[in-house]
Amino acid sequence: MLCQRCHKNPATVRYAEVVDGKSVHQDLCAECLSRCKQDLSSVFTLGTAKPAVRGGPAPQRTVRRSRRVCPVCGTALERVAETAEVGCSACYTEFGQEIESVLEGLHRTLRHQGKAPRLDNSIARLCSDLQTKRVLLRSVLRAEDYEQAARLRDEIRGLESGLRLTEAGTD
Amino acid sequence: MAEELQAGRVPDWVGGTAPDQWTALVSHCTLARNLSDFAFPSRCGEEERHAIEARALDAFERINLFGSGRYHASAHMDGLAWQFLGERRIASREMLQGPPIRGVYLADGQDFGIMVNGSDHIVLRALAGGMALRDAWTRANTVDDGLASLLGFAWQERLGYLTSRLGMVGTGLRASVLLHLPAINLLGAVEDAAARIRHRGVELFGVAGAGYGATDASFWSGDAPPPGLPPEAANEAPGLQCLLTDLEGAVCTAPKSAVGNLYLLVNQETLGVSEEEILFRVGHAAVEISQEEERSCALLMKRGALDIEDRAARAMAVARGARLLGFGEALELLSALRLGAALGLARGLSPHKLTEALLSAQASHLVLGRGAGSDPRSLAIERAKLFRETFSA
Repeated sequence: MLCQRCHKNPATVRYAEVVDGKSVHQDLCAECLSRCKQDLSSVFTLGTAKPAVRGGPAPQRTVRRSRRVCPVCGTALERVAETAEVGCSACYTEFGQEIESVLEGLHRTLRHQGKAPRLDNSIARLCSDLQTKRVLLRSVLRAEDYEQAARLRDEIRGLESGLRLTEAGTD
Repeated sequence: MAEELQAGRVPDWVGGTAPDQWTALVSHCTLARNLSDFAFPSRCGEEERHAIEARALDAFERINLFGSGRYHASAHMDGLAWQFLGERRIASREMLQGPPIRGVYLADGQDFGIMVNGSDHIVLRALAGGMALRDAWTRANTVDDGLASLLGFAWQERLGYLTSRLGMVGTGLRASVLLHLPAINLLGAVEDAAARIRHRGVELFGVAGAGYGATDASFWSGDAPPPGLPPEAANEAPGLQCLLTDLEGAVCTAPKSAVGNLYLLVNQETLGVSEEEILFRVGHAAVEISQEEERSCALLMKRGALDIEDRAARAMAVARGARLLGFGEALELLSALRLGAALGLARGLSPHKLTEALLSAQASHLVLGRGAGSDPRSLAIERAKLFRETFSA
């Protein structure tokens, strides 16, 4: 979803304000949200009581910046919150709660209602695994990582024999 | 390159537009998918990208896609070729300048494409002329099912298809219709129309143009841009005079900044709604807005048919006589002609012909399809020639 203010960045937050007694919602990106907040604070500057009036100086607020990163792809949680983009499937598990709170701002419900992939073709899956491992083997051989290459070679042999057995079973 | 991309061929979807369908130009269905055992493209190394591409190509081969199309790898493509695929509404904007080892499968009819290693590992895009979301969806869905059985897409029961953008998670589907809404715009009612459909999870955006208005910065002496052109035209990149696409279906802007009275209607929610519901919501909103456009046209005719006819006749005269034509001016002419033809005030025009002219007036189409030079002045000369040929009596 694109930001409804700048129409450029992805919207990450649903922003609500009351205009003429009516609640108005807008889906905004982080940049436009901070601009909105600035606008709001400039409007209320004169009306806001000084800290001394409210009972002494306001406590110093420290903004906690999360340093969590996805262990699989290295994407930082902070970046996910800023851009509404993740680095890999594992990010969805690693940052489950935080991602759900972003998703709540973007979608109405958090339960998938659409189609599911058809994964019933075991031969096709074996073939694609085999293809991936063969490509990876070529690349680790180029990098002269022989330990990794030996492991991949064994896995490929295992997959090849599994494929032969599966194909024989379906004939 | 021009031959490989079949630059002279008119995409099948252009001809598929019904002869009375003046408001909807094209429907897009875009599906984002990722392989479960790789990081998403933005976090992938070169070797992983190679492996993803190899797996994708193997799957394309197995479901027999190469019988009716070919894969264009980034290693064999230059910027102009990428822009051409963007102008054909197949390759989205991020594909134009992405990291290496990416590519696009393009079907022979140029109404279907698959981007590999773009924003997501696999992005399927189907196009259909006019208001035909169902047709586009059927084709995208069939290929998606074929690929899913071979590739093992990243999927969770709760969140559906996992995508690099959180705004696409769930179905991973963007369904959109490109609309021409001159009458609603002339009556200043676009924002109202957008507000009426927003609560259904459908948004009406303006279509943004790149290089809008640029004719030839160097031709005009002095710092001021030529009369009638926006000031930024003098600084526009000369090559980019086109309407690029994005995952949404077009590069979007605020409705008030739309070029050529072109707007994109697109679903905003992908999680918690089924594909059928998305298609219904967007399709229903497209029909509603088209009906509103018809009512606005009737109102304009009542208020001043002569003004609309005058506008169309002037546009036709310029199209038949211009020797230099900027992209922005071309869009305005096509819009005036389309409105005039829809109201029966300009004869001899069909939606098919006008959409074809819109595609062909873009920069890389002029360069690859008609051999124009890529500087703004050569483009303006060739575009004017194209219009004279297309619209001469």
